[in-house]
Amino acid sequence: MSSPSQQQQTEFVVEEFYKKREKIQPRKVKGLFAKLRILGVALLLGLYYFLPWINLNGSQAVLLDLPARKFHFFGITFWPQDFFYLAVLLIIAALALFFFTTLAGRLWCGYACPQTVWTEVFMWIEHYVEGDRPQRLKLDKAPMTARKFRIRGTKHAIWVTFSLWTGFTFVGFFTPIRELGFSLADFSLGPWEWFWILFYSFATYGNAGWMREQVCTYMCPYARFQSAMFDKDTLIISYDTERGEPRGKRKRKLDYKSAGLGSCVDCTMCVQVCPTGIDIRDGLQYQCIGCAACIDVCDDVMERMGYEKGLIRYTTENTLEGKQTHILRPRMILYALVLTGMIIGLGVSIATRIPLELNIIRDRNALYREASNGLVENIYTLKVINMDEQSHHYSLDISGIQGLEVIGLKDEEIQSGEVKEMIISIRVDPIELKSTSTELLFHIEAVDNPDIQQDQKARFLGPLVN
Amino acid sequence: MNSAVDPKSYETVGRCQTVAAILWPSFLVAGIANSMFWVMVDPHDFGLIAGISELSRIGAYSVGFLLSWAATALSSFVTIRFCKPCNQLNQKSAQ
Repeated sequence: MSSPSQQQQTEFVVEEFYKKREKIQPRKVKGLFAKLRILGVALLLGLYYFLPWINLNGSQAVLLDLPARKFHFFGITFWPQDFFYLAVLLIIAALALFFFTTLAGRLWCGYACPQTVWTEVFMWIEHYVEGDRPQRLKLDKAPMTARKFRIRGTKHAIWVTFSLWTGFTFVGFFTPIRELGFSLADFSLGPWEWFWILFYSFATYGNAGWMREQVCTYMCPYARFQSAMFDKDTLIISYDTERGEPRGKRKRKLDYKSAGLGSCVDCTMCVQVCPTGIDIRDGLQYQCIGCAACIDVCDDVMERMGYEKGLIRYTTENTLEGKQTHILRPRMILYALVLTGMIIGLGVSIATRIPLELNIIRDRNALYREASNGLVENIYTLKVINMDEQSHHYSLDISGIQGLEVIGLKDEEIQSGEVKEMIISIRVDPIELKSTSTELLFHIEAVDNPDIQQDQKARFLGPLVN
Repeated sequence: MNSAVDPKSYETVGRCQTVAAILWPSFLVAGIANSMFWVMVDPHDFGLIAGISELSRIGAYSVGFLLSWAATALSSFVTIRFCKPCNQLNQKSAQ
């Protein structure tokens, strides 16, 4: 037997988890933050859809050429060996996320997250085809008729087309997009290209069309730990309970203060515009993605009522408690410093990057070989990668053991982007060996540009004779 | 509860959330792991070692990703199974 309170709790839990998700039909909103979001959408999706089409010197400016293992970015070519830069870039992105979250909450979610940005476009389409919230709610309830079928069909057709274009663009970042377009047109597209175009299209259609706020609530890792970055000075979207309560409907002319009412007219507009379906008046909630639609709509209502704006606004916990807010606080300064430092570091490091790579692999089959004239021989495979935009001749200098002889080294021009493999053997008089394993220093340098140079170490194995 | 026990009450989260919890984190981790692997290994070299001569790079990346996703999803699936409290398993078998 469980106690009544336990029973109640179970009941609550079951209800909470099994209440079928009600489709959220947010009302369209106008205002400052809606404009900012439109700007974000235009900028980010503009970049996404047009970047692959930009050509630089006859080749695609941004191309993550996976088949060739080269990553072109506006004239700079990165290689898998440059993975370090990507790691630093990701750390910078994470730090920037911390910085902005601490400053003003979920700015990322509200204006820049792909989920938000694509959902926004899908909602525009929905709004255009099906009408605003009241019409959509009516349509949801209506039985399936030819008219409803036509409207729904149109919406999904536009969604699917848009998704396919999105999937095509996505693959266009990895395979030259013009060639991709041609192979699509003459049906010669490879199976993997097809797979990834359809996969990404399906993900877009599913996430932006169907899943929407559920992605943020159930799938977003950031949403789960964002609260750890908040403090009492973080700007968050809040309802001013002090000013708003007690809420209630009233006539416009009424002197509500003497009638014992707060500023909230309980029009529920803030709930109707919320894309995650929460009531901001219940306080800060995990589901809130910081889109500020409630601020826009509430300001509008306040204006019409002739009240002061800002019943729902960006504010801090400290301000709401009547204390002072500190935007410049140690945490912010620290994040800003580290962030700036890393950005400068990355910039300098890319600017001074040496476009040459030397890999040395010692032949693993034999420790060493005795050559006919009493010399000891080790075999090495050299891999020289010219990551520069021009071709070069290189000179190789090997040191570490007195009087070593290099056999098989050829002076060859290495083209831009070429990987040249050379097998060389090094012969040494065993008398010169102080140990069974000696370090060799390989120094490679472009003949026409001494700034392009690399040093690598390798080991020479041999017998000890003295 | 007075009414019949909800047959699903032994589950802790909804089906949609369960599917997302299995497929989504595993997707992210598989993506990272797969990229890291192919950064270090050129599919061309891998094909030589594994004796698959017709391995295209895009194919290798894609198959690698799908295999890693399958492996990480399996791990997430087992985690979800193990997350169920034992008494809830008993409730299930009692029905």
